[in-house]
Amino acid sequence: MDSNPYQPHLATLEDVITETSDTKTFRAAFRDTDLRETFTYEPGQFQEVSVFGQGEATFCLTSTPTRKGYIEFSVKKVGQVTESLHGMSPGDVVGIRGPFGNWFPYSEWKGKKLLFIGGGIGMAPLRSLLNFCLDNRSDYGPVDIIYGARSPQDFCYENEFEAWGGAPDTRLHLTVDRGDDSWKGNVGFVPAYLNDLNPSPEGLIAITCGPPIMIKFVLQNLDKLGFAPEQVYSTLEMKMKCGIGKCGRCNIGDKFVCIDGPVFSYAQLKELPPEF
Amino acid sequence: MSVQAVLANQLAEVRREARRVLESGEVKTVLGYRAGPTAVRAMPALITRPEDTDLLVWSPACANNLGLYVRQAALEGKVAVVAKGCDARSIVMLIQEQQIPRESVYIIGVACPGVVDPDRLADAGIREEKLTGASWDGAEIVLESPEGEARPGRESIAKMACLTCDVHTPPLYDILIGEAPAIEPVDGLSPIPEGTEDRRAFWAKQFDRCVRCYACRQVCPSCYCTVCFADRASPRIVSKRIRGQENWMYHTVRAMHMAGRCVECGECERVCPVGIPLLQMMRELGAEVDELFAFKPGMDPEAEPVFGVFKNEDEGPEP
Amino acid sequence: MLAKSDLSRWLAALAAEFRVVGAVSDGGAPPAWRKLEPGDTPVLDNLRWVMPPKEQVLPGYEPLFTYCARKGEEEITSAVPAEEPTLMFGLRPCDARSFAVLDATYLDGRFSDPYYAARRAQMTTVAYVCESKRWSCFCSSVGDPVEWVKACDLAITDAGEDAWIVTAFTGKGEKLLEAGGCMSAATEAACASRDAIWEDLARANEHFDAQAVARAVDWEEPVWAEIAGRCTGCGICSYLCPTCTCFDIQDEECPGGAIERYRVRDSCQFCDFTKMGHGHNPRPGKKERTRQRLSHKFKYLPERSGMSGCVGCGRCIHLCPVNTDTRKIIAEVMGVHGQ
Repeated sequence: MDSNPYQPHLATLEDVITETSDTKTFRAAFRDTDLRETFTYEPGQFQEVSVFGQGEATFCLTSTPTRKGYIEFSVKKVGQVTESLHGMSPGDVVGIRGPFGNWFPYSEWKGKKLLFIGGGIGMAPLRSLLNFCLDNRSDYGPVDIIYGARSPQDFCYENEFEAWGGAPDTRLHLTVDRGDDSWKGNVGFVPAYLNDLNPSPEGLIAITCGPPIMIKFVLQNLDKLGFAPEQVYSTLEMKMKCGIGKCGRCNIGDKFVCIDGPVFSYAQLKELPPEF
Repeated sequence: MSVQAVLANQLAEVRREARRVLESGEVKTVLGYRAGPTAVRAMPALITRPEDTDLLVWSPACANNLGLYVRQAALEGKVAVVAKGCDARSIVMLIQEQQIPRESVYIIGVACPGVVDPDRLADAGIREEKLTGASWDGAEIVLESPEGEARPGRESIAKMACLTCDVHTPPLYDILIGEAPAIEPVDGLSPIPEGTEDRRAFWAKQFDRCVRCYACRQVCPSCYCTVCFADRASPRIVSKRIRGQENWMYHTVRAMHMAGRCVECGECERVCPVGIPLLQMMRELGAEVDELFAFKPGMDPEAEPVFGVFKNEDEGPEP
Repeated sequence: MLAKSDLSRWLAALAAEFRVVGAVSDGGAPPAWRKLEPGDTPVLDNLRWVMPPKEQVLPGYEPLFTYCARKGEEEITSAVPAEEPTLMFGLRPCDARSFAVLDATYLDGRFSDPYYAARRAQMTTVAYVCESKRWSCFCSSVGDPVEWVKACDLAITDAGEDAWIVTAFTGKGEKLLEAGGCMSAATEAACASRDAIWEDLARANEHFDAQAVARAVDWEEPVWAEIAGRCTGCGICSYLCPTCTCFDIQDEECPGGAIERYRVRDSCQFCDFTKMGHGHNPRPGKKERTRQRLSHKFKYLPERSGMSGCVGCGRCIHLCPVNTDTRKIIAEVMGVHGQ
C-alpha cells in the first residue's frame, strides 16, 4: 500500500480515445517503470486522477488487471476537472492515487453464468470485469452483455464489440433509446430489452451500472424475473475527495462508498438508506 | 404592575395576534420565538398550527433576526413575523431589494429595549443556567433567579447591536405591541483603532482567528445569494485556505457587499465563535454610506436601494 | 503535589523536552491551543469554553504537497510534517477523549493518515480535571469522563490550599513528575479533594448509552425536520466539535507557478458538501444534512468503532446561533423509540 495515500503517482497519458461527443477514454502509464509492472488492482476498484492545479476526480478503473503496463479510465465531461482532462493529449502528465475501494467478488462466481447490463458510461466499470472474465474465460459459464446507449453515436468501446461478441459462448446485445437510418439493431430502453431477453436467474450473476433511472428499473425487472438480491450487483457513485474513508463525504448511512463500496450487491443496497 | 406582568401581557398579545392570523387563514406561517435551553436563549420558531402559538415567547432572550427566514417562508404563502426593530429593518430591506412584496408579510411589531447576549452575561460573571427568567424595566434588562431580581446594567449584558440601536420601535409594522422607552445610543464602543497601520494590525489579528465557519453569512438576512462568491469553484474568487491572509478576502468582499445593505442587527458579531467584531466593521461602512448618500437601509419600504439604482443626477466625487 | 505558584517552573522544565501546548486566551478571544511561550498561563479551569484541540492534529488548513509543473521536470514534494514530541497540557476530559475518537478514523482501516499520524505520534497528554460543569457540559451523560482521564499520561486536579494534585497513569506520566523537581508528596487531604472531584465529574442526571442511542436513531425522526426549520446551515457545530473532522481537498497555484494541494476543514452542513459534478445532490436540504451529522455522530460512528462519536463537551449547544440543544435531540430520539 502507498506510504502516503494522499500523494499521487505521476503518470503520462499514452492514448486518448474519443468515444462519444462527451466521453473520452484515457490510457496512462506510470512514470515509475517498476510501478508500471507491479501496479495491480481488482475489477470494480476506482482511482483518483489528478489534473494538477484543477483538482482530482474519481474514475473507476476500466482496464483489466490481467493486461499489465497501463491503466485506463473513461471520462464524461461534466465539470472543471473533466473538462481539463478532455483538453489533454498523449504526453501530458496526470496524477493517479489508488486503487481504492472494494471490488467485484468474482472468485465467488466461478462456474456461474454472467449477465452484464450497462448503460452509457456505466459500461466503464463493467468493462474491467468483463475483460477480466474473458481473459479468464474458462473460469466462468456463458456470458451475456446488454449494452444500451442514447443513440448509435453514444456507444463507448465500439472497437471492442467484435472481440466481445466473438468470444467463446459470449453474446453482445446492443440497444439504443432511439435509432437512426443506419441502425439495424434493437431499439428500446435497457430495462425493456432485458425483459425481452427474459434471462433465467438460475446459476446467474447479474452486474449492472448506468444512469440512476436505468439502474432503478433494471433492479425492478430483475426482481420480477425472479432474481434474488444476492445475485445482482451494482457499483455506486458519490462525490469523493480523499477516497480512503477520512474526509467524511461519501457515506450512505454508515457505509462509505470509498471503502465499503463502490461495489454493492442489491441485497446490500436494500439495507442502505435512500440517500444516493 | 410588576415588570414581569407587563411582559406577560405583551406575550399574551403576541400569541393572540399570531393565533388570530393563522386561524383566519390570513397567513400560512408565523415566525416567532420559542423557549431555548436557558432563560436567556430563545429559538426561532416556524409555526403553522394555531395551537402551537402557545409555544411563542417574548423576552430579552429573543436575540435572533427572524428576517433570515422570511424570504423562504414567503414562498409558501403570507408570513406573520414577530418583529423587533432589527427584524423589521431586515424585512424592509428585503422589500426595498424586491425580494418579497410588502403584501407577503404581516408584521407583528414588538417594541424592544434590547436583548441579552449570553456570552456577555458570562463575561459579567453571571451563570445563565441559574436564571429563571428575563424581562425589561424601561431600558433596563431584569434577570430573575431563585435569589430574586438583578439588574446588572444594560451596557454590560445586552447584545452589542442593541447599545447603538435607534429602532427600538420597529420602522414598519402592521400592529405594534408594547411601547419603547427613549434610549440614547451608546457611543465609543468600537474597538477598531484609528490610523491605517493600527487598523491593519487589528484586523490581521482578528482574521487570523477566523475559522471560516460562515456563521456570519448564514445568519445574515441580507446574505441571500443562491451561490455565495466564497463558494464559487469556477471561477474561484476567494481561496478556500483557512488562513489569515485569505480570510481577509472573504471578510472584506462580504463587507463591500453589505455596504448600504446591512441593517446592523449584530447577529454576525453575536454568533461569531471567535469573537470578531464584525458589527463594528459593518457600522463603519454604514456610517460612510449614510454620510455620502444620506441612506440607511431597511427604514423606508418605498426607498430604493442605494447601490441598486443609478440616476443621471447622481453626483460624482469631488474633483 | 504541585504548588500553583510553581506551575510555570514545571512548565519551563517540561518545555526543555517537549513542545508544550496549552489553551491560551489572546486578548479576550476564546482560548486556543498553541505552543506555550515563557510567561503564558494555560487555561486550567472550566469557566468558559475553549477551542477544540483537534487543530493540533488536524489543522484547519494543511498543505498536503506541492507539485512543480515544469515540463519534463514534473515532481511532487511531500508536506508530511516531521514528528515532534508534543505535550498537550490541560486537556479537559471531553477533549482528552476526543483524540481516541479521532484515532478511530485517522489511524484505522487500510489507510493510516500520515499527516495526522506524524502530529499524533509521540503525543503526551496531561488532563485537567474540571471541578464543576458548565450548563452545556454533558460528558458524563455520554461516557465515563474519569476513564477518559485515566487514559491520559497524567492528570492534574485541584487539591485545595492553592495546589494541584498530580496523578500519573503511565510510565511516561511518571517521568513528567520528575521534571524540574517541582513536586512534593501528595497529602491525604489532597487525595481526598481529588477523589471528591473525580466522583463529582462522573455523576450525571441522564445517561445516554451509546449503543442504545445508535439503535434508536431513525431515518424518519420528526426531529430532523424540526431542527432544519431553524438551522442556518453554518459550520459552527461541526467546526467547533472536537470530533468532527470532515475536510475538503483543493489545488491552488502558488506565487512562482508551483501548485499546492491542501486540505481544509469542511462541514457536512454546507449545502454543496455532497453535490456532484453533474449537479445531483443526495443531501439537497437542511433536513438531510441535519440528519446526516447527528446520525453520523450518534449512530454510524458508534456502529463502526464501538465508541460514542460525541464527548459531551457542549460546544455545539453553547455556540449554535439558533440554540439547538443536542441533548434534547438525543432525549427526543430516545423518547420516541425508547431504550
